[in-house]
Amino acid sequence: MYPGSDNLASQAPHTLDDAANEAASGSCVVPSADALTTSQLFEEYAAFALRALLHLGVRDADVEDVCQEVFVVVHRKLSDFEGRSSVRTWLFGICVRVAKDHRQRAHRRYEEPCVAPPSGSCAPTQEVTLQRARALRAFEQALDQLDDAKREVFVLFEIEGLSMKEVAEALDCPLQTAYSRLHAAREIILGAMQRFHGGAL
Amino acid sequence: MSHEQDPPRWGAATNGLPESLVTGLEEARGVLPGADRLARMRAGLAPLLTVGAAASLGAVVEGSTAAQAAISGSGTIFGKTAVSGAAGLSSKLLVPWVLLGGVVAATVVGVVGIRSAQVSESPSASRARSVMPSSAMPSSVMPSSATPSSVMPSSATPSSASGPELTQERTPEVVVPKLPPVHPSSASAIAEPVREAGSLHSEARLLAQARAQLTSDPRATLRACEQHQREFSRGVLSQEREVLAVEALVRLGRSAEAQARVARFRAKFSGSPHLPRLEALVSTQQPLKQ
Repeated sequence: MYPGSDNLASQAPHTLDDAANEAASGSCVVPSADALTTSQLFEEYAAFALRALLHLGVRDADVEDVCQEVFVVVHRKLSDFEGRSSVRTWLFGICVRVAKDHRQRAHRRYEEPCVAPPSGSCAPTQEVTLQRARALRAFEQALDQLDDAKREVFVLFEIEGLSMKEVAEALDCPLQTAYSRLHAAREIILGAMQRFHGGAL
Repeated sequence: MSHEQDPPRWGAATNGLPESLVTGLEEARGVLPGADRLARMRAGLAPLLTVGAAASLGAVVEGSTAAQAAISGSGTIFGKTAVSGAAGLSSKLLVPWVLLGGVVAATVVGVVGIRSAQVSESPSASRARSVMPSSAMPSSVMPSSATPSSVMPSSATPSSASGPELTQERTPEVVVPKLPPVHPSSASAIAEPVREAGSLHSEARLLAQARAQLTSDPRATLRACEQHQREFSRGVLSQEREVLAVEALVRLGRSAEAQARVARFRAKFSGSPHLPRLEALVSTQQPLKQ
């Protein structure tokens, strides 16, 4: 699905989704969302939820915990899921809310937002890899410049690949609002990355 | 997934984007957790991911003790979450959270124990297995080699095996009678975890066969690696599989593919102990002929 990611990415989370979509559109009788289990959802979406959380500003050191929180919420609310949106949209909506909640808590706990974490023990030997890692870090820093509302739209649309309609559903905001947030977010990201580019060359 | 009114997503084809932005986006889209991360989370969520929630009661009681140990002792991230999560939630949610945190911590403790010392089966290993239902053990946690005795107190002799902070919170009267059997074959066999427990052996067997053919028939090794990737896409031994695949590719002289594979590996498992070896493998341009 995306370059640079291997087998996990190739298993795009659509199978459960399709069932729920069909249920939502009422086109045919499919197993209701009740039939889904937390376990199935975890296997389908955990990797994607974790990626979304990271890009929503959850620190790497916390992300596994926060991702588990997401699935605790999923487990608790699964029986209330009405199939009005796709499972994926619903789940990303939960990710967004849990991430926001976590950031607020983290803010209180750490007082000051943590700067980009050290890039680990990775010692890239190839220049290409180094460049890509730098680009990723710059991109993450650009993301940090977005406020929550814009960041959520941008991450769900550009990275997680939701449609704007799904984004609006996940964030529970009007479609037009989502569009204007995306537009604004893109301008900020573009500006930040152009500055990075200018500085890097 | 896209809507007709949606603007096209940013990418290499978008005009006017700085190259670094395209690269950064591509990298961001490629950020996916390794199997180890997923396995840890799966383990932490084990009580929710299985149908037989009652079966995990023993683990829960024991787990909360282990959580105490984790918090007061090693202070793992998971332990911290148990505390902060519990503090931040309403009283209605408190109990499940503490329980969850407990099991998470218990599992982490188990993992740490296993990672730090791979010792053969011992009485405490079977204890650990009986304490945690098989579902609480992620496939990465080799139950057969688990010796978490340092942290997981034996409930039969709590005071002898555990430190003071462990015994303090213990409720052995509850634990002992509720322990699930060591081999939970009778316990209405929750299908998924049982399969997972066995899958580690299948994984290991497949990779062992693959390795055996490395010098004689690297193509067969590669095929076995592909089979492993298909069958155990989230397998515990995916790092080992990748190492093997790279070795096979190098032997076949397919160095470009080997390098690409190492690059992916590096992106995914940046701190892996296999990484130096992999990099050494692809940095030697000469194909390894046996």
